[in-house]
Amino acid sequence: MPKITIYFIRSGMIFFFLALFLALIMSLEQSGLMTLPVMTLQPVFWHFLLVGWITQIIMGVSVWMFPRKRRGQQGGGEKHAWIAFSCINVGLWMRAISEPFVASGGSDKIIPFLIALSAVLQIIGGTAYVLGIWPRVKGKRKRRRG
Amino acid sequence: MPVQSVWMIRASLIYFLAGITAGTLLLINKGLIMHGSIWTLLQIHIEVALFGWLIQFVLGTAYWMLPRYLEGPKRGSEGLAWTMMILLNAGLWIYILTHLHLVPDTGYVVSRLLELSAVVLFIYLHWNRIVSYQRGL
Repeated sequence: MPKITIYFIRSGMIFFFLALFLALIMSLEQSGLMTLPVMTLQPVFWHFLLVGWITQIIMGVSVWMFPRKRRGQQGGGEKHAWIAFSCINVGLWMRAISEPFVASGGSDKIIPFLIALSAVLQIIGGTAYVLGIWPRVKGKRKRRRG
Repeated sequence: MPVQSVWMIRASLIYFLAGITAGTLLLINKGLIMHGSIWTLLQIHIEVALFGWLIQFVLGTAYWMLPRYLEGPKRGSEGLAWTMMILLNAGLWIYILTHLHLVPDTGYVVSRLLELSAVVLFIYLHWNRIVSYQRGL
């Protein structure tokens, strides 16, 4: 298993835990056991689950398992995968920090730019992953021709 | 990788880019309010990310990777696999067109029926491929 896959999967597992932890916190609010305005965390919960967990698992496993040009060859879009990993993780954390402030109507001037930067980082990360994995999505005959 | 999986996975990667582009616009709009109409993208963002990206990627990879038949066509009917892909994508597009009010609201029902048919075909194609070659399992 390449190093980048280990990073993707371990980070995915942490986001999986955090997503479910957020769900637990929100359930306390829903059931009336807590009065903090934690429902603003709902978009963060969904993105931790679907981007942080499922998408990162898909990325990690595909970088590891998708066919390479030659059997046993290393690389094959790994540089792109590292960019994807860094941007998506930093972007997701930035979002998690800034989005609840925006949702609760905070007036801090830095937060809107932080949230915009998190969006840009995530699209850069996603694009880097697609560019890296695209040449490896191909049929057997094409792969033999190289 | 079978050609159906190549198409499904490549399509899912395109939907992934479309989904995160919509998500980026929504998130930037949340921070630096640009235009209220951008919020109409929210439902499309969710639909494209879930059905176009995640579900289609998983279906395409499962069609490729699950154990193959030892006799006959390795992955069952290729025609049905194509049909599964077309139904899923048609359902997704009809949903988007309906959400943009380019087709009547009954489009929502048609899109879900098409997606459901794709799921039924997926189950039919893969049910017997979920096996273990170890004795006793």
